[in-house]
Amino acid sequence: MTPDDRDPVDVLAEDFADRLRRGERPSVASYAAAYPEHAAQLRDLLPAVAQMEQLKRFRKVAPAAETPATPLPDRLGDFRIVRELGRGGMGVVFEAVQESLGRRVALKILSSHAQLAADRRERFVREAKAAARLHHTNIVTVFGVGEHDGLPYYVMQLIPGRGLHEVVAGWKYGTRADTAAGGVAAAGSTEVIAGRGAARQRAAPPPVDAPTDSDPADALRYGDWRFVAGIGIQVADALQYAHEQGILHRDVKPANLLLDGRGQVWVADFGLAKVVDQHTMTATGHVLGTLQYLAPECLHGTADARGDVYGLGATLYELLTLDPPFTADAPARLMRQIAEDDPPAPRALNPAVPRDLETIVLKAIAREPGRRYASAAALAADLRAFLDDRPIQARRETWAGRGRRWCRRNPAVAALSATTAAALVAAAAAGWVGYARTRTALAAEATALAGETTRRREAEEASAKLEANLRLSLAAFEAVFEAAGGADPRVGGGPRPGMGPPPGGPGGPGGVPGGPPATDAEDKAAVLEAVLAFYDKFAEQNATNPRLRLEAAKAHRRVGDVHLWLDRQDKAGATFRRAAGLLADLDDGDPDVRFERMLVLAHAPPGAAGGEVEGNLARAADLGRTFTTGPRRWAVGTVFLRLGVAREAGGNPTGAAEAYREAVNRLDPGRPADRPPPPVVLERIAARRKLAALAAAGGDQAEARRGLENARAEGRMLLGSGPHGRQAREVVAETCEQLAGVLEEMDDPPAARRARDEAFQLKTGGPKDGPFGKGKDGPSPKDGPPPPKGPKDRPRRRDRATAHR
Amino acid sequence: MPTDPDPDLAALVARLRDGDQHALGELFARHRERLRRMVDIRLDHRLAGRVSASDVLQEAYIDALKRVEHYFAKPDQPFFGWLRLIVGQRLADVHREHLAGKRDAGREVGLHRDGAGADSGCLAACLLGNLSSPSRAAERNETHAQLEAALDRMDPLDREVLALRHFEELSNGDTADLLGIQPAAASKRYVRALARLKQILESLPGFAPGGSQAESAP
Repeated sequence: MTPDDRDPVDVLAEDFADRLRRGERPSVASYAAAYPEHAAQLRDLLPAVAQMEQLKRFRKVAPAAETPATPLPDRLGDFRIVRELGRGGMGVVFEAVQESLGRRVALKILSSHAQLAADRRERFVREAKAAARLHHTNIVTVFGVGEHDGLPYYVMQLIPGRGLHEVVAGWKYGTRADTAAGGVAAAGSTEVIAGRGAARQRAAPPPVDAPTDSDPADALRYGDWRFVAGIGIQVADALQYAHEQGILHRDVKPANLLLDGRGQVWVADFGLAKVVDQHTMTATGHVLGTLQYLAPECLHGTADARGDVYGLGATLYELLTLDPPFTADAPARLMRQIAEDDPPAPRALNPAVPRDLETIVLKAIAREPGRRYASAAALAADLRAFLDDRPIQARRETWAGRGRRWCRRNPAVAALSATTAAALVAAAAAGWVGYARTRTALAAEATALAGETTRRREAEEASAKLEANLRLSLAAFEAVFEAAGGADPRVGGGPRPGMGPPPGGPGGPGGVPGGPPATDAEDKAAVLEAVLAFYDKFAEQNATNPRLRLEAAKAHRRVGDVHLWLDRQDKAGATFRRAAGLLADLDDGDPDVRFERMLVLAHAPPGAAGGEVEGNLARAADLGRTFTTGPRRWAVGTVFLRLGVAREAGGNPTGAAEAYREAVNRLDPGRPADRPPPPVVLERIAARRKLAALAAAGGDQAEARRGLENARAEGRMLLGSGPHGRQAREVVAETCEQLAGVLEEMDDPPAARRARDEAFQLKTGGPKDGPFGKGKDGPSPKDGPPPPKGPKDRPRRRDRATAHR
Repeated sequence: MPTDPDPDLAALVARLRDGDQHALGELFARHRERLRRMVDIRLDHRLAGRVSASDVLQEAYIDALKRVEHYFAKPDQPFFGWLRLIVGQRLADVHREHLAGKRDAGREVGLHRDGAGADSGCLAACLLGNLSSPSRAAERNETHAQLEAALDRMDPLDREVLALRHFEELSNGDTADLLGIQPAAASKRYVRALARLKQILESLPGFAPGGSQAESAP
């Protein structure tokens, strides 16, 4: 490439720009003079080049330039400026002498970037005047308000001391935040460390009313919890007083709380936060230092006394733990944290924090204003109770406490509180909407640019990535279900034994109790219902996406299972109907769909899936015939077991026997490699025993004996310590008793006795006919209708009854 | 392999090729300002506060470290061009990750073509950097909106040419390569874009070229 290819003005402009970049100051006029043929264009365009080159360089320093380079005025009316004390988000604080009264004051000039339009300035004056009416031993007195060169300022009492943010910084970084002599010099650094404090003050000679210049922070050490409580009481008293005057502080944070030489705390800057534009605060990064102490509801602009309670609570939190409740380093992240997370408990950060003090602070910073102290006075009262070792009013939040206990019991389901699930749902739904839109856009683009293979490939890749994300979130919900529902290894979270048949049906099919205790199930049902809304939404928005409809159907079926478990027939019915509806249009050719449809048919209470129980089970079994390996094979076996029970109840022993035989076959390992887990073996034993009972009733004692001996052999393999060991012992014992009955029929008393002895040994200490031995007529009335509520023992009883029928 | 005209840089690239990974750090540092400006003007302003230009560069550096062998396997462009490509890809990933579903289809096109196009909003913010002096603060928002609108109306290619030439300090030849046009055409476009920008700037209140910028020097 030669310069000839280029527009000569371009070449000259580049040269011009290069010189600017080297720090020279080329003149436009000299270029114009040197190249008269381009003079007009050069005069026109080179300034734009200069502009861009210069702006580019200034851009990075722009934020720094915003911290005001306010020239230090010598005097503002009656006030002679002595020195700068510090600067913060809202302005610069000077020490000054009010000459007419000969008193030292602190003078705060709102920094230039916080400059206010006329109406705001008016408001600033109004706020400052309101603050000037406050007279309290813990509130920095405002003497007056004024304006200098359009810069509003106000005059206040000079407090010799330091902001609490400096105290915390001193503790945290193991240094004195500054020294009495070097106040100004240190101001910048402590600001950086501790956030953008507003009114840092330090006077060289203490005023007459401060008898000592010994800094209490010298004596202060981190871990003096009574000192922290004392600070809280003083500030809360001051806030209560102000609130009674109708004035909110709106920006309670460590930097606005000054600790003087006598350990007294002073609240500064009442009401000023309201005046400063949120946007300018954001621009300077000041918002970070403020947000950490801002009550969540204040993000949306509503504020009341409880917002100040929150600010004080967050400050106390920091005095206890050295960190504010939320510590994200970017405003967006911080806002999300404040809106969504709970801060760690102080005792989690420092176990030495007294429990009552932690309780008080957590109540003060509760996310919902309604759960906080209703007033600063109430907070002060509890802090006093803490100091006096009296019982405090605050109670550890019951829901949270309960939730935590529950999560400890169910580590896999930790954090599965209903709110968490709801938040998850909302997040996932939002993500989903974005996914759907983006995919549509990508599809449109791909079509429009059909020729451009690369772009289409990229679109497809992006689409695949989105799809993968979606699957990931579906998988997360799946995990929620597995954890909450107590997945059953036989069927991948499917039908649960002991869930019981529909009411009015025959006894339960399986002899295996399982699943969570009822109270846990209640909790889980609540969680699952919350997640269900998510699936419903998915399914609604994606009528055309079969995969998602299937997921939704699966979710509904699982929740239906939990309802059945809890004996909520109505809810279970509705949920199963929804599941069946979602599956209605899906293609049975997909094995996943077929399997799911089978489960819905098999589990649904009468009427919910259309058709009668026995017919549904028969259809389910039919759908399942193709599943010949692994957990699905076993799930089909369970369906056949249920079908057998239903047929037996319907007076069809031949059909029942056929179904039981299928069940026994299917509950086998499909492949040698698939070793069925104990619940599957137990289910198989149940099928064998039912088959044997039918055979015995039909007179074929030999067949019954073979079956029961097989069942006993299989059961013996499970005897041992594992979680199913006890269950297996009971089942084997019952099998032995059943076998003994058959052997007696076959006139083999010795063998029968051996079987009874084995049963007796297994039920150590129990009488031979046992507590269950008389239950030949079905469940006793006190058992109530199935399904059982206490699955740990009742299904077994019912099962036994069935087995002996 | 195209060698860098700057012998220092060429030596660094040679060291890197011989397996000295420190050389990459040094090369990155040498180009950091330009790469940073590139990210500055292209990072979607909605990501402010979530992702910083430094984050992007940091990650791009790691990407470069991982893929540097690919460059030497087929060094068909100057090393800076390759670095710029890596940064652009990382930037595109960042946008995809954080703005999935929030970028409209129009923006997606730019995103797929070569990382992210110069965003009018970002350019406007860049050009207005000096308007943050106290006396201007009030005007700033309105001016910003006007400037952004005006930049938006510019031909995207013109806008890109200006961004590449001035904010990323690329030569006309590199700019042409990057945009896939002839150097002569790139040159013409640049002059035309300059004229257009000058008109836009002149139309903004208090923004006559050559006027106000000096006062904002820190």
